[in-house]
Amino acid sequence: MYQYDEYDTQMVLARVDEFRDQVARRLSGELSEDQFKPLRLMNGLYLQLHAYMLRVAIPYGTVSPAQLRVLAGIARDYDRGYGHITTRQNIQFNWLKLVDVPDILARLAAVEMHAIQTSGNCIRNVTTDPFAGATAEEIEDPRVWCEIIRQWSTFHPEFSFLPRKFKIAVSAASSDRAAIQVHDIGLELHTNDDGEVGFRVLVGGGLGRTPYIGEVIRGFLPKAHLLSYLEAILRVYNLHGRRDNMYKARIKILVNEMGVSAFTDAVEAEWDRFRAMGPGGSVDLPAAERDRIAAFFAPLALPADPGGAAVLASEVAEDRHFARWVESNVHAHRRDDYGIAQISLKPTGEAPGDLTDSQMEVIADLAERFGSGDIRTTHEQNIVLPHIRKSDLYTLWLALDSVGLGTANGGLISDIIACPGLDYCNLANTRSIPVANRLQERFDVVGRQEEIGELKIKISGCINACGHHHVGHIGILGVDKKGEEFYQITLGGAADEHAAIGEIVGRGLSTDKVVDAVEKLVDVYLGARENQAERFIDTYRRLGAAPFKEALYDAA
Amino acid sequence: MTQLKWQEDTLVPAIFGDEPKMAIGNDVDLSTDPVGLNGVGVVLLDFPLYKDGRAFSQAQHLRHAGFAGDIRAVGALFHDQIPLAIRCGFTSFDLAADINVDKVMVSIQRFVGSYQGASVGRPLWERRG
Repeated sequence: MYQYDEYDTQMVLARVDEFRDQVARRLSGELSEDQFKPLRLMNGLYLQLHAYMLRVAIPYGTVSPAQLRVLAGIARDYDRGYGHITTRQNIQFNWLKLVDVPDILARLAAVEMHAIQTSGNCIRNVTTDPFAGATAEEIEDPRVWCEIIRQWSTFHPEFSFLPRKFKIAVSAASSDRAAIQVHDIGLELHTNDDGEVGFRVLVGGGLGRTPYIGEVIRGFLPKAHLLSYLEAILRVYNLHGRRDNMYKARIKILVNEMGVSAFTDAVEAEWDRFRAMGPGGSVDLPAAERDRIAAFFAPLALPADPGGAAVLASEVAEDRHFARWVESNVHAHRRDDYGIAQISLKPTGEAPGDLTDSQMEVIADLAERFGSGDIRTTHEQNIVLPHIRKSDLYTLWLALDSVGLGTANGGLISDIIACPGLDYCNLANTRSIPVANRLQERFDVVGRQEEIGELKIKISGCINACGHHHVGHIGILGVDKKGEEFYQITLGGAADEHAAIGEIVGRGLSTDKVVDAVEKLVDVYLGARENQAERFIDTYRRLGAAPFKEALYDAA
Repeated sequence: MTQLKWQEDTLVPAIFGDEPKMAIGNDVDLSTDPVGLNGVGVVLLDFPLYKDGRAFSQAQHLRHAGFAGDIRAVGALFHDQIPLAIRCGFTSFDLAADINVDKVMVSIQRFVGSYQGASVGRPLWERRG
């Protein structure tokens, strides 16, 4: 992973010093809460229902064992003993005191971490494929470009007061695990007809109140020009994005109102001007600096595991619980003798994405022992150890399972994305976590989830869509009607390479009906699928919404 | 109210005179609607709200286009935005808030460099060997 040099270190230390000064000015009364608000937001600090929440950046979801141990210490010493993985691959602490935050940032800085630009109307933490560097599907490691974007976007003087927040995701694999089509900018590394690798550039995707799938504005961008092209997009957005209404301020609205063609022309014209400035004036990096950053992401030299596959096969045959975990949570690695292990943070009854301080320490230890020290967070709120020898998988799983991290539900119906909802968030209308937990309980029957197969449920507690309900195969949106919680169901959404916005199927359901409703939808699918390989989303696409709507509303 | 000038890498108090000025609204895209600046010594760019960062882009555009006169930020910028504004090419400030110049200088000097090049300052990677 990327290692800081003296300049990176100075940058985060200066930020700690700056924020310490800003907090002191707030605590002394020199700054009002109104004046302090933009300053704390640029540092990931929110004032929530009960306390301050700090969102710590995990750039593109890559975190080391040493860093995870520091996060565990923060959870233990300043929070209530846990942290929460977010859909931007970051980690949140929900129970902090303002006066402690500068010390927390100093602890983070000591292990090359920070909370820079995890909120506010600026360029947020860039996200990517949690299997980066491990999957055979990828053209090259997308994290090289994520780190280049991280540095370019950090404290960008021109783009720190944008109309609204701005999210960029990068994918380099045929399967999109980074949801690039629902980002302000999605970047897809691909090879063109001449055999060159470059970016397909999508703009204007997003969820929230007005969901959109991103539009391709450039089919092929040479890698060397990535930053000048991003700079051109951001310049057009900063000048023209709406500022009269915060709900219409994201770039997706601008692209829609200008039209894709006019927007593209404006970006290309700006880009031509940047390129005309040449190497001395453009923000594009020279090859030497790109190579310096790329060297940190060179493929790991993984020791061979001859016979590992045979060992794994015999362990799978002997332990059916382990067999279930391998089936749902272990993914193909670029090497035949390795697997990519996904650690579920969705055991029945816990808040999706939560993990305790001691669980963090166990993961750090196991990553060092079995996983080359490489740990990733995922936008689906889980953890991945990307390089595990096949002969180590069983020992790893036993250790995980002993601390509640062995749940076998990757991609299954209980692997739910949920926002914090009304339990924490002051924007939410309804609770999300209890709905997720009740769904998990309903389907927590041995063999049932495996029978259903891949089914992605995503729950948002309000229209801001932090739980990504628009792109759930089944999406659940909480709405408040005269003080009562209702849940609206959407069907057919997807965040992968076949991204789609789900369709609202009918009126909202009361809180005691929503779990039954999901079960009815599952029953329709199980009765209608052509074979076991046909997933819920495939059946929905084949049959459309009608049979599902009928089951939900006509029989009632 | 605070009037400041950025000269020789230092922020100093100022009293602005009546030199020829041109105010450019922050809804003007200078790329598509260029403004004639012959004989103009001072361009005024507006921050109606601190959140409204359009003038940062306008200042960068003017510097990239070769404007060498004074670019003045007018309006609602606050203390912690001034270092960013200087990097975008602003050279004077006529602001609604009372601002402590010495404290802003501390903020400016806190960071020894920046990752990205801008109108003022070279990118950090140039220093990396």
